Amino acid sequence: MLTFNLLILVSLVYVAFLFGVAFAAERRAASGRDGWMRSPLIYTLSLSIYCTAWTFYGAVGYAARSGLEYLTIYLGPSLVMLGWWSLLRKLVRIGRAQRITSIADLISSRFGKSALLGGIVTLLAVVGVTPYIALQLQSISQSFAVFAEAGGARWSGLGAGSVALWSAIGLALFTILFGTRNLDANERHHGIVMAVAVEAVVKLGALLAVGIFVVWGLGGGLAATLARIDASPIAQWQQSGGRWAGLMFLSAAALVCLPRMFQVLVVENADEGHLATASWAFPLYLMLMSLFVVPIAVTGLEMLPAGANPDMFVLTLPLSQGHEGLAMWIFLGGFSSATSMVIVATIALATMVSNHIVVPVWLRSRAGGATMSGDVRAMVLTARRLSIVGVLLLGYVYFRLSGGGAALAAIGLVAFTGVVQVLPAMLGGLYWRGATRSGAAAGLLTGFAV
Amino acid sequence: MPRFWTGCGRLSSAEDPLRPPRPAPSYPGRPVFLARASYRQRRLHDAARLAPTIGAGLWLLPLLWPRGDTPTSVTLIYLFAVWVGLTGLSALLSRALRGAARRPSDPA
Repeated sequence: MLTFNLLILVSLVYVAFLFGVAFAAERRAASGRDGWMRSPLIYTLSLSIYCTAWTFYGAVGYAARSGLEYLTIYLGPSLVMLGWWSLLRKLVRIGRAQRITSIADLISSRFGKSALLGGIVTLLAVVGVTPYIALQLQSISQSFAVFAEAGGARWSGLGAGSVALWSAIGLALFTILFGTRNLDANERHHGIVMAVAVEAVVKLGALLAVGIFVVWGLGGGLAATLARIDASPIAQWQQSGGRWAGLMFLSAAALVCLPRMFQVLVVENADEGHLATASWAFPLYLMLMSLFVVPIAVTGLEMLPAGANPDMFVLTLPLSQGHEGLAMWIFLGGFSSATSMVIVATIALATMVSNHIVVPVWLRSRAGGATMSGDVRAMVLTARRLSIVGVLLLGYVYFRLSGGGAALAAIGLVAFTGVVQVLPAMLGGLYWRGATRSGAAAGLLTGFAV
Repeated sequence: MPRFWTGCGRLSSAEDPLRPPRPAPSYPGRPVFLARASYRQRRLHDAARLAPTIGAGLWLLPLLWPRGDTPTSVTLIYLFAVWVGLTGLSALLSRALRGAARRPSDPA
């Protein structure tokens, strides 16, 4: 039997391995031997932070509750990547030419470096992303809980809280170490991108493994699985058109508006040509990620007891069949998808908070302004470290306050909607010459209030 | 560039026994005065812009199918088939676009 202590040991070893990968990547980049690290493959893999724990655990739960609707979340971004020639290429070009560091920076600089706009977008992003970070912490502690229950241990709410707290502390440490090593105008983080790429492979492999296990190991082949789908509670295609199209649009918009996606898509982009590869490789990745979701959901509904949490089917199915090695791998996959999202989202948010809230306020409070450059540099790094801790703390507090009760997918959708408010201002800034600063601010505040 | 004028002369090589036979034009039926490289590139750009619209249309199509009549498995297979198709299309397009960007454009 897989003991709980072994699980903790394995995750610690895995985290140490990630630290090692990030550290090695930073050293290679520093010594200039980073040719293959800037390959389109790594770029595409780093985009996969779009698939968070929400995808990894939540998609199966979503499918078990409302059928094929979960697919819209992945169809939308695929369309955006297909249309890279029109929108993303322009976005990346502007980002490189004007040294954009975050989505708040993009919007404020498209409207004449308006500090007000930057601040509004930053606030909006913090409010929108905090529940999302809480969601990742919740999924980590939930997956620990599944193992603890399987091991027969008593699992109290206190335990869930401490797992989440320790994860948050570890993540803050990792992000501070590799996210604020140096202050670079390009805001590129080789170590983190590399670690995220490794995690992308781990999570895709884990999800494919459980899918293959379910279809060929439990389901008895492809035809039998399809028959099983048609016999399940979600057998009929009963999709509401408004939700289908609306969610597709929402997720498409989220791909460019989420601060963490903007970070990997635009800020960490080293070469426009990588976008061409990602335009087909990223939809392929999303497709593979969502390929086995319905079979897993259907098999889980059939084989597990009625009260089982569908969000954890990915983990509970192999556990119930006694495949502990597979379950361990899946746990690491889910852990990867949660941590990589939190790390990149925290960096993106911390950059925004320090550049658009802390620094303007600080400069204004010192009437003399910045006289020495080293002075500001140390201040910005400190501000960024504090913002990282602050953002993670907010996520943790949200997790504790919300009690971890809501379904994963519902929290994710709330976060999406919050962040997508930025889209009109962004598109206006990109394409519409007549757009004004006050107009953009008014639009953002209205969306925020709604 | 003589090949632009093939077909415009009164006498083709088949009618005139004194002329050596000319190679047949490689793109019959094309507007003769367009530079092929940039023409092709523009059509590629059009295709790249159109691709997401086509994808959206194909993915919205199941909404027209009868509710409650269509098994989930059929819809699932259809959606993933479109996905594979679009991914392949995108791979071809991005390769062609990148190739076209590298070639120097035709001055004509």
